[in-house]
Amino acid sequence: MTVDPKKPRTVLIIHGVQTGDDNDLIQDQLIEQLLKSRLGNMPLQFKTDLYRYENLNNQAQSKYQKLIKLIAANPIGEVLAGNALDLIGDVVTARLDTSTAAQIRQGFKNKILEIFTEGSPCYVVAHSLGSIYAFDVINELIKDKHYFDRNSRRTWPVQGLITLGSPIGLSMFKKRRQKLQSLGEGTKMFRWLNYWDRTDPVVSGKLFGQTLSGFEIAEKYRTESPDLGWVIRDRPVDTGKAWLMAHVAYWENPMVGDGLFDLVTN
Amino acid sequence: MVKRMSIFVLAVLTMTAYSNENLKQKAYTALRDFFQLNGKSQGFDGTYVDTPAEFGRTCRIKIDFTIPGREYFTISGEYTAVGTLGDGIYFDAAPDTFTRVEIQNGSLIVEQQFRDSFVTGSESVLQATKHSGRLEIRLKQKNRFLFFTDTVEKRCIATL
Repeated sequence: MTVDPKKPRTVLIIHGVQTGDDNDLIQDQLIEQLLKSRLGNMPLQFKTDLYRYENLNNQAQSKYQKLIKLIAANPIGEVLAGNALDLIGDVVTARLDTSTAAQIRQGFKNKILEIFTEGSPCYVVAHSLGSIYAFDVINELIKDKHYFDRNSRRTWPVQGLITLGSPIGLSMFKKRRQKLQSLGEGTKMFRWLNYWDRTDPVVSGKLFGQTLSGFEIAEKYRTESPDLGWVIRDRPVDTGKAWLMAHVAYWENPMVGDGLFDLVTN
Repeated sequence: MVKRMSIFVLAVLTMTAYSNENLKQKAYTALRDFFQLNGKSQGFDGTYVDTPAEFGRTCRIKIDFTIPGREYFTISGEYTAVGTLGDGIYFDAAPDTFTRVEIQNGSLIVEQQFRDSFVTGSESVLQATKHSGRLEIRLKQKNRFLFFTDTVEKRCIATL
């Protein structure tokens, strides 16, 4: 089982927790449009795919969703709730040690390995809480001796990672994820680009945003060891939206599109 | 007057910093002594009791003092992601995250709080008790995120 670089690339998206159910999720279409808009005339063969887990998650999170509906029952709450409130609520209510979380991770891993078996180079785009699942699954795959030979990208089920509006820098997630799985000795590098908007509260946990400089999120995982094998960049973007709306605005951002373009073509 | 006030502020700040560092060291020593560790690690497989079923049935208590500065004391379960450490106390954090270390009726209690902002953070209270031939760990984990708070309580019992 190896990746065939001549095959069309697959951009696999894992969403955060959203309003609605699986049928409402269209992030694969948004990423397809975004990447096409950045390609210009370049003849790149690619497809997008979305790993959906919202229905599974809804069952586990139903009591919190009832609470959110209650909050949304007044006029101010309604404004907040429109598309966004449950996104952030689920960040804190995401109990990642549960059977539901384990099912989500296993399903995502299976999806990656399905693409790997087809031989298509796979690139993961993970949004919000989806970035935590992606982080855990990719590190688990690197730990598995069957994959990720540092010197042969053909053995890599995932070629690169983009995270959008990730809460990985928050202590509740970061403290139990102290380090990345090392790729070992070799020359090839696994790339992780982390995009964030300074007003996105899911990233900083702050009500009024974060400063652009000196704020490390994914880059906290960098080490001096050459064996780590990860290239990590935090990239601030201005989505043109503020606060919770910024959290759901990455899908149309040209800088994100350029980063994805760079990742899948190099 | 200004000079006196400056000296007072400096003295308070120094005392606070010393106190936090002291608490971190106290937690380190208390845990090392409680588990009788000699710079190594110990793990105990146990069973969850009075813990929500979604966390599974089995648990693992891990205390690892192998890497200086990155010691930890955690509980993980059968659904904890591979490569992650579980909930508990982490010594790679700043001294001011340690807020309580005490022995109460033979139980060791260690509390650690992380603050990302005024409205976001997490706190863990771990209570370790040795009964005859058994080790009991109670963990209260509270996550705060903007307007939301989530509290989880776990109780893991292992045979010593």
